[in-house]
Amino acid sequence: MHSVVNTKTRIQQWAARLLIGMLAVLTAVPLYLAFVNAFKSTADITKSPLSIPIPPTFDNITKVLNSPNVHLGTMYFNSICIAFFGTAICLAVSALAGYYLSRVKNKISKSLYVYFLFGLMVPYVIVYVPLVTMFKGSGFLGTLPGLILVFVSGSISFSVFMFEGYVRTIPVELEEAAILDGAGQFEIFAKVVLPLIKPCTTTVAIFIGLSMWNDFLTPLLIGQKVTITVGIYTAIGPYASDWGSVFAYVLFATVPIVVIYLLAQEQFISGLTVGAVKG
Amino acid sequence: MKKRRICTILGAAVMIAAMSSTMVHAESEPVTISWAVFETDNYTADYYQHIIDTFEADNPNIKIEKVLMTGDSRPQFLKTMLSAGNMPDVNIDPVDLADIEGVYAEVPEELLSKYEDGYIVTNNGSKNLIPAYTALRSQVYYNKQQFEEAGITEVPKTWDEFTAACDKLTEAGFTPLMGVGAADSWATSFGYWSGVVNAEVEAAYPEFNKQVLAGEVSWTDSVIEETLVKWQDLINAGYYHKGSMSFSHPQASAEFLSGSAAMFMDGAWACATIDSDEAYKDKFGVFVMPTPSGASSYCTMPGYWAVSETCENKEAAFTFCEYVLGGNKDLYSYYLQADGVYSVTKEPVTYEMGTLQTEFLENYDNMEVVPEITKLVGDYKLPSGFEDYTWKSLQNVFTGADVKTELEAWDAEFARMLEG
Amino acid sequence: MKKKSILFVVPAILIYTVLLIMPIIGAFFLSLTDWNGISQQFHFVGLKNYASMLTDTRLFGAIGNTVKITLCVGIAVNVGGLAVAFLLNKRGKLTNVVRSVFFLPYVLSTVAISFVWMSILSYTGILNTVLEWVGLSGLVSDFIGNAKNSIRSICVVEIWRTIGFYMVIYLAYLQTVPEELYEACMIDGGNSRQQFRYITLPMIVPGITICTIMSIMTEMRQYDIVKVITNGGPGYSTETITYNIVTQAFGNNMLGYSSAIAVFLFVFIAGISVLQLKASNKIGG
Repeated sequence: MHSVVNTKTRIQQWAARLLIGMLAVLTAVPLYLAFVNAFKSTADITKSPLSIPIPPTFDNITKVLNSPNVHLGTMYFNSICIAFFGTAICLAVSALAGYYLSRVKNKISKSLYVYFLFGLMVPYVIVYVPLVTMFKGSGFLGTLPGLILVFVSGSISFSVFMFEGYVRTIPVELEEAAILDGAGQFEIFAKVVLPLIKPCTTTVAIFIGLSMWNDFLTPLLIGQKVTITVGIYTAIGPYASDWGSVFAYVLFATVPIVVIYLLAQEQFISGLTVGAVKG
Repeated sequence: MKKRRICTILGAAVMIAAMSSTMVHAESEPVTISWAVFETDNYTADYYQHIIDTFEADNPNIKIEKVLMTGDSRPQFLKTMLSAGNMPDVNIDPVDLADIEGVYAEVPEELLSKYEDGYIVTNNGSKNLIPAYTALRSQVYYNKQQFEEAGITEVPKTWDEFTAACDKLTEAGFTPLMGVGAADSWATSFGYWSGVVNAEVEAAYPEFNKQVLAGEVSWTDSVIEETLVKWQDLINAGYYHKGSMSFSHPQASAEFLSGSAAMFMDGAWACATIDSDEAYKDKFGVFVMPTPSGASSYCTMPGYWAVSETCENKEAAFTFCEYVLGGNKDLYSYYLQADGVYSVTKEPVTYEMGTLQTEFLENYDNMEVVPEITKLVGDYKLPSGFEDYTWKSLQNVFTGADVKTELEAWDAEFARMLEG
Repeated sequence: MKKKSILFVVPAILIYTVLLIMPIIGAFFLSLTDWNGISQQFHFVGLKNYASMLTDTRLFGAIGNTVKITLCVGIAVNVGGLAVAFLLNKRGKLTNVVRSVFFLPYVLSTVAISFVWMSILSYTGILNTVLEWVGLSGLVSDFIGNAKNSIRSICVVEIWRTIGFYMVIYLAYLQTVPEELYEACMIDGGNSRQQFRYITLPMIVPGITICTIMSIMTEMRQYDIVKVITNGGPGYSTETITYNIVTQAFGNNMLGYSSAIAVFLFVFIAGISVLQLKASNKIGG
């Protein structure tokens, strides 16, 4: 009897493994294609899309690098600025706000919490037209800092919501001890609270950092800053039939994030899991 | 004493003012002009770079910054920029926005005087467009070898001969027609609309735009409907390439040139593409698309540039326009040749045409020139955005929508746009 | 405890109010006008824009597509994400690698991967080439050139892109279930289905709520993939609500009208979120 159950579960386990393995391979195929085909000529891509390029050609890469439409420096600079400063500013203001909302329990804080939550339900597309209209002529939106703040405004709801939830799970005793030591409120926040909410900070940072790095519509409609996504969209434009260069563009757009991801994948996944549950 | 103090203060003020003005001057030099362009097989990145380099070499005080227009609709791109307050200084292809008040700046008379009078237009009382070129529209490009193998000895001259040729090609195992879809909605109907529908409509109503704007003719007119139904017949007969709707325009033309289909109703620009490539030379011919009723006429499209009202250095912007569009003859000829278009300056500028372009031009001998309905500028211009609307609708027609229902929607949209 | 300084929330309130809340109020305001976005003047037209929506067949199409995509992707990523998370919950040699593979598409830019998928799905693209090779030429078809197929293709790309994300969230919730509960269930003679029904499911209800809301919100604003792969075409057949709003607003000079559509979308999403929260409170509570 026992052995029958064992064989049955064992078969089930193997079937499950096989299934997941196949799914993983299927998931990886488009990524594999994107990578290997960046090193083939367009003719070879059409003929044998799945093959490994031996020897690899770097024509596509040099074509992209030499194209007068590609300002990789500017594109990376804008994207990095937006993703880095946008995330940093958003984390700072949201952590402060989330901490306040979770520690202070009065009418004002309750209504503020609802006020912030409201933003979670906003389909961001509603904002573009009025935003552009409001700041038209001021030149504010055309600047990088302006665009960064726009990104921050779009992520505040989510971040405040996450921080508020996370701070609630942290015992308040440590802060009380610090007060007895004579520390000021902001000092307590910086020295006591910040280290404790680090897991949540990681989660939020990954989530909003990725969304800022990859966002397409916002830099396209607001500010017209050429980020890496807008840049490759523009550059590929009329050359979409030249798949070799398309894959090379895709490579340039994705390599930085893939490298970061591969170096820190444990933090990515475990970071997301820890913060997600408690938040 | 008092006087002296005042003098000192005044003197200091003057000095500061002078210093700051020279500083401002030093900073604002060279001025930068943004130039919105689009790239194709003909208008390449290198091509624009050559124009910019040539201009900047002669005008060291002006720097040109290229802005690439993206998406399938250039007017839509420009309107997005306009709404966001980021309108590029110099626009090519500005016609769709030209009748919106306050978008483009009035062109100096002196500059306009260099162009043929027929090309100068007034929008809402303002001469805000600079004539840039005039272009021929579309014909049918065909693959000579496939025609030969299918036993077609002469290019079709009537509608029946055309469908017969399509049948012959199918029998011989070729796909008769290449089509375009995907993100390039303009290109789905372009060849058939400018080549066939326009000729039929202009034959029936020589003043169509005037009449349709006055409400005397509607888009549901039987001429338009029947001609579009004929188009659908070609599609339903399976003449078009099965992948048509998934090809962008560059993809479709690459497919056509590599032999995936025998014919392609495409713009005059393809002559320039084919003529300039050794691999394609002499392999392709071109003929005027026959119409169902036998109506025959062709249309030309005037091309314009414009300087936006928001441009801070209009003088520099007009200098740039003037320089490229005739000021420097060599450059103007270079500008025209790339896309196979023709000069509109009082002093004509020419260039050596390739074989296919010559053939294209000769096909129009003894034919009447008529305006292109959707591209007409000036008093009888269709409302801004209407052409974009028709493209999408004609894609629906291509994928099988009922022609009559679609055209009824045109009437409604047209009325709405005229009202707004 | 000493009173906390309101300064903690001021920066967040400022940025949030000026750049998000004020524009939303602006959108409500614009939706009552006929402004075209370019001219200096506009008129108040009351609820006329909202009335026009009732006869706008193009908008109906966009709503239909958005609902189709939302339902298809929402169900697939939640069921699939949970299933994959369940299978990858036990620690094994390769689990980390496999998890990373599933999550990787999510970190890449949607625009970039849309181009990759375009090269796969195009008529002369990789998928059709491979189908020809393996002798399945009967399955060769135009995956992005007609409305029916292209909506499906968009769903496939979106499922592929986001399933890893939901997998990670579900993994997080699965890991909150204490081992002892499973053991207790085993001792009581429960089978794996019962285990799932009576132990796992109640514990991950909050996860299901979050994932469902997130997938609905993400898909309701689907834009990038449609923009790159089909541009809403052929015709309007693959337009989504967001795509419709953006083109109407900036392309067709109908800022007033498009704002009305945006407001409608906002109310719709807010409504769904509230309903969803209420429903999950009932199940969870």
